Amino acid sequence: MLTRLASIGLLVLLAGLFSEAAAHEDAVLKSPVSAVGPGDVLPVEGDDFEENRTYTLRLVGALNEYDLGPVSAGPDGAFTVELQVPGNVRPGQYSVQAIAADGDVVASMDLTVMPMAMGAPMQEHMQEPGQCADLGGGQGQGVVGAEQAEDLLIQRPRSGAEWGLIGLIIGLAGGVGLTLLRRT
Amino acid sequence: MGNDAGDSGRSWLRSRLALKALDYEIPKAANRWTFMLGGLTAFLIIILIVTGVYLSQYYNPSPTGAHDSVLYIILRAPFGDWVRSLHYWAAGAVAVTVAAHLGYVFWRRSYKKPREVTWWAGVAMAGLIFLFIVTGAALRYDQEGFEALAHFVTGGELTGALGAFFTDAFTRSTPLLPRMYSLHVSALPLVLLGLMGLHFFLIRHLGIHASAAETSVFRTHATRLTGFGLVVLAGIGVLAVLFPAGLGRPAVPGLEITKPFWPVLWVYGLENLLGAWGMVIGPAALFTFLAAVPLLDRGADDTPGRQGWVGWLALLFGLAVFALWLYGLLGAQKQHIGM
Repeated sequence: MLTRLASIGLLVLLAGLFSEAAAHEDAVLKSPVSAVGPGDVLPVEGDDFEENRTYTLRLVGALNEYDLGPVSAGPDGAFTVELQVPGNVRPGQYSVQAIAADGDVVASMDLTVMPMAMGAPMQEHMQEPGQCADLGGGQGQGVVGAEQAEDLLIQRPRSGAEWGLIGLIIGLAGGVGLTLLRRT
Repeated sequence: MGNDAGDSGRSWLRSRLALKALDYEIPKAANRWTFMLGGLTAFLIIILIVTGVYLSQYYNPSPTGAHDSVLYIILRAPFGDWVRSLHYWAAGAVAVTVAAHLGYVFWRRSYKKPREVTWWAGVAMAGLIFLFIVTGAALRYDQEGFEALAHFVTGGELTGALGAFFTDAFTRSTPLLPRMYSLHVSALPLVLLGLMGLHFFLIRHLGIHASAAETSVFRTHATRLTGFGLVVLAGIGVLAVLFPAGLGRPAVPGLEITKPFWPVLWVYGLENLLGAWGMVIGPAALFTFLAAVPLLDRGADDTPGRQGWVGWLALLFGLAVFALWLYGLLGAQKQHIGM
């Protein structure tokens, strides 16, 4: 009986996994460019998308997201588009994602956004400490003030649940620790 | 009934985990807190490993993604800010316990025959802790972290073939930051854990340098040590809430305007006096002296505090490091590596 139940459970699980995998096409996003600056044009090609469907392209980073606009796949499931990278994008590593109408991310590609003053030939040297002398410009180097040496002022949001769990961990550690010391 | 269940549970654990092996005799003095500094260091290292594994799930070691990923840890990762601050305060606490443990073991002359290798393993671990601190500080990749990496490069260039690993010449396939990250999370922990194993094995089989007139069992020592460790964990947990670890601004290449993490301020002070060579000479001199101690303090006498000229030399080193640390802390910020 138990073996039967376990087998049925396994089949249901596998069916769930398969249905998840089959929910969307094996779409691919690609670009001849792997790094851009804010405000640059980014050529993007899509292949193996669902034909004649519309997707939303989004630039997703660790802290921010930027809407790049809609794109429609042709009868062959492909598209070619030139996207405008927003001028206010923070330099860093991003993912360009294609999002279907149901909210699923169907394809993505990595993209690096470089600081504005850097031209393409300097990209490989960017932020390499050994080549400080070669770097002619950087993030606002001409306007560096004393605050560059100071820590950022960060507002740290913490929920009640977080406070509770942190307090519990500290309380437990201290309480158990003192108990063990008293017992010995 | 409740006690019976508890007793049978304890008995089950004792037999399955072979806890009887912990009931061997050790000098009773080992239960004093001064004899627990090494064990406390190990406890803090466990905290660093656990919090470090958590942080590594969110940290991006690429130059273009590192700073933002640290901001993400602070702002978005669940408990990220507190865990990161725990990691920061545990790192500072380890610097204190390692120094205290080293100092106490030196005073007790526990490096004498047959414990020389135990001492050398300990000195090597202290050197590794130093490397952990400097590589970890670089990973923030803020202004201070960038300058730390620049110091690695300069130090590597000064030391020729010995320091080639820390320069761009080592490889063009990956920048320095991911290589320092790799050191911090894989190579250094592996070596450290190996040395810890050796250190504990030797302590177990050679014993500690203390009178065995009165004895206790190791299980009592382990219980007390766990208690101390948990109280310290609670303490740094509170510090992590009240004084969370900071993060500087994204680096501006070409500037040298920050001071390093406080445990290495003495190296900064020495750089103020000697220039970039200070960061090589200082640690090299200190760790060479520490490694040489068993060879310098020879003879049969092992009375604590009777090191003679070796003791005076150690005191001189200690005072010099403290003075340099104060100078690094209070002195003006200076350029060392001509960025």
